[in-house]
Amino acid sequence: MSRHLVDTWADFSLTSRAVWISGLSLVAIGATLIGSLVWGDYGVSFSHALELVAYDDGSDAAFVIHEIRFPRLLAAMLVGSALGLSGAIVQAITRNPLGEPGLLGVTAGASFAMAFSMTFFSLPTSAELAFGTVGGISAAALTLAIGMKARLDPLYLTLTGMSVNLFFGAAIIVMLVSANIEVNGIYYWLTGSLVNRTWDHVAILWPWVVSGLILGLFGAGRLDALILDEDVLASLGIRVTTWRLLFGVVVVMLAAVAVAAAGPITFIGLVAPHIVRFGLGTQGVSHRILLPLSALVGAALVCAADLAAKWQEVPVGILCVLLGGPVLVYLVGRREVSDA
Amino acid sequence: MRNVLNFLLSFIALCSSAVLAQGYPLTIIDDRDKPVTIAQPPQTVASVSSFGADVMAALGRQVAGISTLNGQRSAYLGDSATKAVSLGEVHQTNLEILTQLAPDLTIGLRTYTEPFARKIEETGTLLAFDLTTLDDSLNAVTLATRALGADSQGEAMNKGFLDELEAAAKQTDGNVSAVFLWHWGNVPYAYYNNHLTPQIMVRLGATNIHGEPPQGMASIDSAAMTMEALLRLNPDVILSFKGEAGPFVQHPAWQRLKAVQSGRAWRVADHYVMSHGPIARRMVLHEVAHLLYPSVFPEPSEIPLAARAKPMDFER
Amino acid sequence: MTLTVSQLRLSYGAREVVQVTDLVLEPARTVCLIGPNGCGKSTLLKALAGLNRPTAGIVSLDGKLLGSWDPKSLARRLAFLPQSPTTPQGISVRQLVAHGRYPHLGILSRHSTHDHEIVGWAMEATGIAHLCRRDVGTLSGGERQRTWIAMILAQEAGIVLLDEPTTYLDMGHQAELMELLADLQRKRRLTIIMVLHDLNQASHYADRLLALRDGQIIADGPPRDVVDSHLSERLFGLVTQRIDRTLSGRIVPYCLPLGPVAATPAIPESKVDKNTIEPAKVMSYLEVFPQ
Repeated sequence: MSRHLVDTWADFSLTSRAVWISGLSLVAIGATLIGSLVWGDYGVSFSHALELVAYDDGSDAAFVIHEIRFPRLLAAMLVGSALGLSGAIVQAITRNPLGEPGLLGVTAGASFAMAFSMTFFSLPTSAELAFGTVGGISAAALTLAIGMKARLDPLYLTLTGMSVNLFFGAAIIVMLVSANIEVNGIYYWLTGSLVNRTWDHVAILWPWVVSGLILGLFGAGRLDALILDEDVLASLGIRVTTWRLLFGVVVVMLAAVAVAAAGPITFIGLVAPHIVRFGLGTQGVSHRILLPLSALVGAALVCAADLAAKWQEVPVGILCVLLGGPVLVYLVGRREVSDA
Repeated sequence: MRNVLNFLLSFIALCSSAVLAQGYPLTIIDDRDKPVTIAQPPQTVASVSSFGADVMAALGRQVAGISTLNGQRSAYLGDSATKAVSLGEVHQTNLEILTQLAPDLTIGLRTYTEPFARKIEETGTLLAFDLTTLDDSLNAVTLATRALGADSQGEAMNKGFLDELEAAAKQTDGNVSAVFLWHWGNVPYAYYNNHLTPQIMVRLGATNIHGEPPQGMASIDSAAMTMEALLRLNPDVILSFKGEAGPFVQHPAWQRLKAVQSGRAWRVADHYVMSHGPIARRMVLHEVAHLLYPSVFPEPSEIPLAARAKPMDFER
Repeated sequence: MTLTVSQLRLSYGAREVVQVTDLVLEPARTVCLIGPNGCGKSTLLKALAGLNRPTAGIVSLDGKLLGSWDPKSLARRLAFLPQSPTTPQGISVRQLVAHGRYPHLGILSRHSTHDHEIVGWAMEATGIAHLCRRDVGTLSGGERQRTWIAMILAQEAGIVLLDEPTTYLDMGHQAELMELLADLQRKRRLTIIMVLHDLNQASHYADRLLALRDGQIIADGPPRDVVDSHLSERLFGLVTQRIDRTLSGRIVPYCLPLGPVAATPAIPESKVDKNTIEPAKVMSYLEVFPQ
């Protein structure tokens, strides 16, 4: 009496739900795309804006669309997808559903580097972004190096990352308080913002983000196994430490450049994978589906938040927290119920 | 006869009020709505923000302590405040130094002195002022000079300034638009008409592209301006202030603005933001008149070099 | 498929916990490691699985050091199940069992039809096929343990190492699990090496018993040869009375507890019969519940 054990029905409905989520995210991104291109302080009519998207006639209106609105939107998409993807990966490698991409020390490291450069130097945009990215990577490298002592054990890694974040966070404050200059602009940056992000920003963002996306998606299958115990993983022949390190590098790449470009808004990385899981109706989603969807949802979230931020000139970081805070509370509440 | 009588009565009233005004002890109600009693003519005066030092310098006196901005005393005061003790950054006054100085009178911005009023008033008196509008400036000059026993000079300064403003306005045709910006990081904050500096621009016939503050928000003097808005409004003249040293953050939109293209985008010194003292407002008036109407007004020569407007410099 | 141990020393930091001079574990046998708490049996088991690095000596499989095997190759031959593994959140039984195929997957980690077949077979063999779509968090202890066994089976390893697989299971589920393992061992000619805390359970199912105390093997052989009160006193400080049962043609000793070593002098010698006695024939599980 053999039975057909492939879960065709369950797999099918999961696939269709995944398609729905992708569709919705793409629609959201598309809507914000149109909204961002058409709407803004300069004031271009809907039809004229659409014309100008295709054809750059050198006018101020065309300049606004091609040099101000379009790069800002692209930056939002790149930052959002980087954060969504790296958030899903970091939650897998630290086995922490409340993990976010800055967990390895990237957030504070990149923020410190950016604040330092804004305070003491006047670097051109590309150089400043590169400096911030390197700062984030260095802080994370410190975390990973310390964590290697425990073979990158998830709990140890999380705690080390937290300490590194706290350290650099304190360093930022010390620097801002003791610098004898006007630092309000930096406080503004530290809330997270995509204002005045130009093609210079996009030029730095897109290679990092696209390579990170490719690497992450390529290894998605292996992430599925990482929820199991260390001993079980070793028994299955999985080189755990190596994989954690490789994925850690991808997370750091994506998060560092995202924070350097948009400020510390890594909260998106925490929330996006959970929204995907919620939408798919199950906690145990294969990372082959979770990763691309988290990237899409992350992009949709940041694009939408940025469009709303344009409307009120509120830093996008505040909107991310306003959105993410209630979601987080909801998630924590659900976990308690499911653990009971 | 009636005219002579009226004249005599006003003259007597004027003299007696002058006599009364110059007599100590006197009571002044500052912008905290608090009556401040000044018993004797103040000998040592501290200035939290440059306004107090400005008034003292205009009266030919030395201020004993002065605040800094970005580690420096305001350039427009020139040598007049070099002997004053530094009180630290204007937004975080070093109270230890201030109490050590023990000035008889402290003149300061209300936002930065009111929280420490009790401490300051332990050793002397405090006059705290809100300084945003033209009226704030006129009122504060009147009250400060009265506290210093220089009522008539205060009146003369105010009257002189208003007369100069009116005279200059008559010479202009008002065909220019401008904006006054304070750059925070890469975000420019544009001032509304309620601030003294744009008000001077407006009185001189120019249009402030940022206009009046929104309904019901009369207390704020500036707000963030997007590059898109700046492109749309495209003023003829841009006056920019930046707290830190170093060039302005680059953005491709700047090069498309006609003010930048025609060389009429200027970096101005901090007295444009704190323009309410008698010396500062005169300097701003003279320089702005020249920047707005270079063919009508000559470049003012009384402004120290370090405080003069320079072309806006951008990163790379 | 022979595990060999030579001059093995295992330590926790500076403290040496296991010393085994020579051990050869023949294939297709069930070996049970028993001993008191802290005797080093789990440590030894992990070393046999290649999860501990020896301070001295070697553990080798088919003549090659465990450390020098490629992890995936080793995983195709040797599987380890820790004590009470964490239950993963939100995955189905089938997804968990499918993880066992990892050592057989290629670079892209894609499951082929063959992989799906093996997973299906593993679930059938452990009797959990009807639970394949259930969330593993909703299973009972017994069902969950069988799921882990199915994952191990899906690994298609010839040597299976289990650390206290029956802890936290009730009596019935324990018996179920042990019968399953015995059945699998027979049918698939697996080598099973497991740590058990119950001496009698070990006696029932082991072809060979290794008793450890203070990190050293103090008894090694078929249960009927090594299990008696002498052993239980040395291992657990417990005086027992041995009964022999015959199950499927094998003599299986059973030690009935009498009392701790210190307390028994109070009982007169004449009343205590520490010799083996012949009880009525006890029926085996299989005879009561024929499959």
